[in-house]
Amino acid sequence: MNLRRLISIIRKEFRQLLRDQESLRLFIVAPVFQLLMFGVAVSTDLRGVSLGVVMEDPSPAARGLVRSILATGAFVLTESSARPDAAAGWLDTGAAQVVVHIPRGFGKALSRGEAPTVQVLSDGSDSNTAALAYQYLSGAALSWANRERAERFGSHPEQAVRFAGAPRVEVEPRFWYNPELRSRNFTVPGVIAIVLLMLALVQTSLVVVKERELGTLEQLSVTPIRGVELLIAKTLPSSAAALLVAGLTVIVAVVGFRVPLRGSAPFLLFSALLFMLSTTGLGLLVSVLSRSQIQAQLTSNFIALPLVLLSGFLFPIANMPAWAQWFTYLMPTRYYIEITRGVFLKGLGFAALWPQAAALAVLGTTLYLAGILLFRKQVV
Amino acid sequence: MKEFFDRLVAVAEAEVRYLTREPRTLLILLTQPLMMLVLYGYCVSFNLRHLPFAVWDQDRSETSRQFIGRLRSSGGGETFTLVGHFNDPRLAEDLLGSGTALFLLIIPPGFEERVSSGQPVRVQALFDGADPNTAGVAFGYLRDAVAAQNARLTLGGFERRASAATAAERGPAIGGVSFPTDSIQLRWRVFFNPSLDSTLFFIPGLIGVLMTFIAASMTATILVREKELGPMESLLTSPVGPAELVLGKMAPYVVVAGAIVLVTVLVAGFTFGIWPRGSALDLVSFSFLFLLGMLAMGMLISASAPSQQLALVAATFATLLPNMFLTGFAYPRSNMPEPLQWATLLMPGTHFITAIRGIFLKGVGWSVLWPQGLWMLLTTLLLLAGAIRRVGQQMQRGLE
Repeated sequence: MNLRRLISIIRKEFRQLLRDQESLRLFIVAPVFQLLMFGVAVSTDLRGVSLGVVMEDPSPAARGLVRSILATGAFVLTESSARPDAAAGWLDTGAAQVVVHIPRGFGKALSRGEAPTVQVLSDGSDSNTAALAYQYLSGAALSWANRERAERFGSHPEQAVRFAGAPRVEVEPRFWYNPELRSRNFTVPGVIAIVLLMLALVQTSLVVVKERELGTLEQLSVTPIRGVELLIAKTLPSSAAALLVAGLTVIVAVVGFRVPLRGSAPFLLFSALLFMLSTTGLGLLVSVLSRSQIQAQLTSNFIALPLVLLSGFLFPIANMPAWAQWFTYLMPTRYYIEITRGVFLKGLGFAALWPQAAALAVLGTTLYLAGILLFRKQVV
Repeated sequence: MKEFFDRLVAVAEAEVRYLTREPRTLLILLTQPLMMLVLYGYCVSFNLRHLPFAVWDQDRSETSRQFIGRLRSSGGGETFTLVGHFNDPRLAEDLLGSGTALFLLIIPPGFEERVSSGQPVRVQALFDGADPNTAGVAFGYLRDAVAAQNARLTLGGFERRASAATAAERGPAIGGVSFPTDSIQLRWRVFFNPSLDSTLFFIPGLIGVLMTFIAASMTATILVREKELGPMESLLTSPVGPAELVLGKMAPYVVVAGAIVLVTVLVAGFTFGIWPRGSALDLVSFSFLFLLGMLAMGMLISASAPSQQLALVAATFATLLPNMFLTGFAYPRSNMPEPLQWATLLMPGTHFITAIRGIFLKGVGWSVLWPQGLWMLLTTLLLLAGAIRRVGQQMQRGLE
C-alpha cells in the first residue's frame, strides 16, 4: 500500500462527494426524515385509544368509574350509549377500540357491598394496543375501586371490619433509566444506529458498481492503484460524512428530543467507528457482487430489512423464537443499538459494553476483508 | 379503441421481456415477500413471555418463598422466569444494566409476619425502564399476578377466621369465588383476535406493505431507466401515447404484485392459519384498488426523477417508509401527534390497512368499508391522472 497514492485518491473522492449536490442533499434529508418519523410518529406510549361506554346504570358511581378511566390519559371517549347492542357496531367500524359495559344495578350492587362485574370488550386486531389498553384500564379500575371503598368505609365504619383483616401485598414499582417510561428515550438512541446503517450501506453499495456500469473500473485496473487502496479511498468519504451526520443526530436527540445522555460520548463515537466498519463492509460486498446500480440498491434494501427488524430496534429480541435470536447475533445493528441504549440511558461505558464493541470489531473486520478479497479476485 | 389496446399490450410485452431478462432482480423481488412473512410472522412480536427477574429475599421465610414460587408458576409458568437471587444492592445495577433481569423484586424483612398478622406489606419492584413498552406490560403482569395472590391470601385468611366469624360476615360470593379485596370485577372479552396473537395483526397489513414495495422498487425506476439508457427517444417517435405507456408499463407489475399477494395469502393461511373472514371478492377489489394507486405513484415518481438512483430513494421515502410506519401497519396512529394523524388520513395506505384488517379479522366488507374504498378510489384516480399528465408533459418536451 502506498500512502501518497491513497491520499490522492481519497482527496479525489472527497471532491466528488462534495460536488454531487443531489447525494449531499440526500445525506441531510434522509436522517432528518428518519429522526422525525421514529422520534415523533413511532411511539408505543398509549394515547388516544378510542373508548366506547355502554352505560346501563346512570349512577354517580358508574360515572366516577368512567371518569377515572379517562383520567389515565390513554383513552378518548368517542361513543356512548345506554343500549348494549350498540357495542358490536362500534368495534366493527373501529369507532371504538375498547368498550366498557357498565351493567344495570351497578351502583346499587356496590352500595350493597357486592362486587358487580363490568364487562370490557376490546378489538384485538391490534394485539399490542389491546393488551396495553387493558393494563391501563384495569389499573384505573383497581385504584378507583380502592378509593371508592375507602370512602364507603368512611361513612359506614361497620363494613370496614370485614376488610380490616385482609392482608395485601402491594407492589411498589420504580422504573430505572427511564422513570417516565417515555418511548422516545428508547427509540431515538436506536435511530442513530439506523441512520448510520442506511447512509453507509446505501452509499458504499454503489461505489464499485457505479464505476463498473460507467466502464471506468477497467481504466482504474490499468493504473498503479491497488484494489485495497481504491476500496479504502472509496469508503472513507461516505463513512466520514455518515459519522458527521450521526454526531448531528446525537445532538438532535439530546437537544431536540431531550433524551438523557448519561454515559460517555467519546465511547459512543468510538463504537460508531467500529459499527461503520461493518456497515461499509456489507456495502462493499453488495457493491462487488452486483451487476447494476439498481440491483445494488435492491439488494441493500433487502438486507436492511433483517438488519433493522432483528436488531431489537423496534421489537424486543427476547420475544423472538430461539432460532431467530441466534440470527440476531450476526447483526451488527444489534450490538451497536445495545451500545447506544447502554450509553444514553444506562450510563454504561467500555467496562460494561466491551463485549458488544469486540463483536462489532470482529464482524466489521471480517465483512470488510471479505469485500476487499472478493474485489481483488474480480479485478485481477 | 382497438389500437389503444394493441399499443398498450405491446408496451406491456416489452416490459415483461425486460423483467424476465434480469432473473436476479426478479428473484430478489420474489424472495423479499417471503422474508418479510418470516420476519413478521415469526420473529417480530410484542407478545411478552418469560420475563426475567431476580429476587432479593430479605425475609427468607416460608411465606416469601411461596410468594416467589407462585409468581414463577403464574400464567402456566410462561410469564416470568426467575434468573437468580441476589443480596447486595450493588448487584442491582449490574443485573438491570446488563439486561440479565428485566425487574428485581425486593421482599422486605418481616414479610411473613405481616402477612400472617393480616397487615399490608410493600414489595419493591425495580424495573429496567429503558424499553418503556416492555417495562409497562411487565409491571401490568406483575400487578395482576400479585392481585391474584392477594385474593388467595385473603381467602386463606378468611378460611382461617371462618370458624370464628359467621358466614354472613364473609365477602359476597360471585360465581362461587369471592374476592373481597376488590369491590368491582372486570371481565375482559377480546374480539377478532381473542388470543392477542401479533401475527394476526401484522400479516394482513403486510400485504399492503408488499404491494407498496413492488411499486417503490420497480415501477419507480421504469421511465427513468428508459431516459437514462436511451430507448425513451425511440418511444417518442412511436405512436404510443402517455396513457398507453403508463398503463402498459404498469400491467406486468399488476400481475407480479397479484401473484405476490396470492402467495402471501396462501402462505399466511397454510402456515399461520390466518384466512380472511370476509369475502374474497372484497379482498381482491380493495387490493387491486390500492395496488393501482401505488403503481401510479411509482410512475409519477419515475416520470419526475432525474436518475434511477434518486427515483429509488424518493420512492423509498415517499411510499415504503410511510406505509410501514405511518399507516398503522405496526404502530397505532392514535399515538401520533394530532396534526400527523390528520395527515396520515390523506394517505391511501392508511385506509387500505383499515380495510384489509377489517376483511381479514372482522369479516366486514364494502357495506362497512365503503368510506375507505371511496377515498382509495379517489386517490387512485388522481394519482393515475397525475402520472399520465406528467408522462404526457415529458413526452411533449422530448419531442420539441
